[in-house]
Amino acid sequence: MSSIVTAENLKYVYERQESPEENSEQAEEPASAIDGLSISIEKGSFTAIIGSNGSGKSTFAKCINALLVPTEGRVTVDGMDTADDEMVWDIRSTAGMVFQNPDNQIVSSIVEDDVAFGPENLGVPTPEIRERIDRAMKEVGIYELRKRAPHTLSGGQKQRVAIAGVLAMEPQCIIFDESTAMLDPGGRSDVMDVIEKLNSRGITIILITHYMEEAVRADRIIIMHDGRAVSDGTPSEIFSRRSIIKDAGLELPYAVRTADVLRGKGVPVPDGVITIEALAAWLADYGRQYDAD
Amino acid sequence: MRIDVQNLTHIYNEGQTDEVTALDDVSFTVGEGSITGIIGHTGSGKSTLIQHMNGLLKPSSGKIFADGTDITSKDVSMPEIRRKIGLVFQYPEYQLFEETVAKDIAFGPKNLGMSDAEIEKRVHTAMSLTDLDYEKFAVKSPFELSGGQKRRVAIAGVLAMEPEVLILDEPAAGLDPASHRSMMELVRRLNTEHNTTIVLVSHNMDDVAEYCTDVIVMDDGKIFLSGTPREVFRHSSELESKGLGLPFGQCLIREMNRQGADISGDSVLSGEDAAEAVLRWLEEKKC
Repeated sequence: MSSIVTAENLKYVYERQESPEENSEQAEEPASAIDGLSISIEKGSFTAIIGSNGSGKSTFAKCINALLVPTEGRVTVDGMDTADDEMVWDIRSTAGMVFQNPDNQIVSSIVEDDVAFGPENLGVPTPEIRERIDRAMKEVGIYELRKRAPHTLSGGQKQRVAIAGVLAMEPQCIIFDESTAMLDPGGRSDVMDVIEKLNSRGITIILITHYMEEAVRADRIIIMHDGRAVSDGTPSEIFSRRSIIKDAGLELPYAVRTADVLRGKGVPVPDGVITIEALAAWLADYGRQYDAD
Repeated sequence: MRIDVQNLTHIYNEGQTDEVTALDDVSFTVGEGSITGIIGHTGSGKSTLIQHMNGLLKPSSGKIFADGTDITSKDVSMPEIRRKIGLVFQYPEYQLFEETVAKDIAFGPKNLGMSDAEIEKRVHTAMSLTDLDYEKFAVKSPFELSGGQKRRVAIAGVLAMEPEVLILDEPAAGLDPASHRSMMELVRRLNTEHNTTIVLVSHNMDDVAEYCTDVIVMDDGKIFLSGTPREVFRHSSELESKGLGLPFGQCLIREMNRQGADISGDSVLSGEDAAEAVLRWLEEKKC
C-alpha cells in the first residue's frame, strides 16, 4: 500500500502570541508543539490519533492541511510538500478537514450553498458542482435539509454539513479534529457512522479524538505525547500497553475495563476484546456453553 | 439551596411568525445538596432552562423559587441571586479576559465591592478548590495555560462568589480523559465537601450515571423523564428513541441481549454493574 500522508522529522514551534484561540490544544506549548514526528499514513486506512490536551495532535492535523508549515522537517500529502505555496489548494482538496466547532466552519445561510463553497472555490464547472453537492449531501444524510438555514440544525447535522462540504471537494483523505466533542450522543453516533461509511468506500480517515470508544473503531491508533508519537499499533495492541496509556493521560475503553473486572472474577475474556460489540458477542457465546445442560 | 421550578414556559419571539416554545410547562425540584443532571439532545431546552435558573432569562410564564424566594419576581435583587446561584457556561475559558489568573478570579468579588482582604482570601480558596497552585499560577496570564487549566480558572472565578448552587454546562467537554476525570472529581468534591448544590448539564451518560443523584431528561421543551440515574436509565428504549445515549453498562447488557444472551440488567449503569450482572447470569445458567 502507498502512503497518502507522511511526516518526516516534523517539528513545529508556535510563535508566542500566535496560538490560535479555537483549539484549547495549543495554549501551553512554549516549546515545540511537535518535536520530531515521523509517521506514514496508508491510503484507505482509518487511523485514530489520541493523546492529552497539548500533546500536539491538533497541531499535526493543521500541518497536514497546510494551515501550518513545519518549522523543521517535512509533511507530504499525496506526494505534495505542504511547504510549497503553489500546492496549498491541491493539498486542501486532497486532505480535507472537519473541526470541532460546527459553528465556526459554516459560511453560508443555506445548507446547499455552504456545501458548494469548496468546489466553487476550486473552479469546478457549475453543472458538476450540482452533481457533487447532491451526491455529498445524500451520502451524509442531509439532502432533505439542503434548503434549511444551518443555524436551525442540530450540532450533529451541522457537522454533517461540514463533512458534505469537504466531500464535495472529492478528497482522498479527511481529518476529523475532535469533530464529535461538542455533539450529543445521537449526533456523535451519526457522525461516527458517516466516518465509517466514508472509510469503507476508500477515503482515508484520520480521526483525532478524546473518546477511546471512537478510537477502537479505527484500524490503527497512534498515541501522541509531548509532541511525539509514543505508541503506534492496532487498537488491541495499543490498549494492551497499559502503562503507556496511563502515562499519556488517557484511559482504557469501558469494554477493556469491564473485561478486566470479569477476568478478575474468573471469566476468561480473551485479550483482544476491546469493543462493546466484541465483548457482548463473546459473553453471549460464552454463556451458551451452559445452555446444552 | 433548594430550587423549585414551577410551570416554567419560555417562548422565543413570542407573537411573531417565528416564535418557538423552548420550554413548555416545566416543573421540577433541585434538592438541596443534590447533583442534578440535565440531559437531552441539542435543542431540547436545556440551555434555555439553566439560563432561567440564575435569572439571565425571564420566563414567559411560571416561577422559580430559590429557598422560597421567587427569583422571577421584579422585586428580587438580581446580583444577590447571581451570587448565590453561579452559572458556568460551556467552554467558559473563552470568557477569560484579565491580565493574570488572580485578577480574573477576583473580578466577581471585586464587583460586589468586597474588601481587598476578603477578595484575596476568596481567590486563594477558589484556586485551592480547583487545584490551581497559587504560587505558580496567580500572576500568570490565563492565556499561557492549557485548556484544562483555563477552564479551572473560569470555574474558580464563579466559585470565588461562594455560590450555594453551581450550574455547569458541559464542564468536561473537550478535555482529555485525565482532565475530564479530575473535572468531574472537582464537581463531586464541591458537592460533598462544601455542600454546594450542583446542576450538571451533560451529554455524557456515563458521567451522569456515576456522579448525579438525580436526573432530568428534557425533550422538546418538556420534562420527559426524571428520577435517580437507575430509575431514569432503565427506560433505555425510550431514551434511545430520543437520540440519547445510555451508560456503558446498560449498552453492554442491551448488546448482549441483541446477541441472544437473555440477560436481565435493567438497573445496570456502570461497567462494574454490568460485570456483576454477567456473573449472576452465568451462575444462574450453571444451576
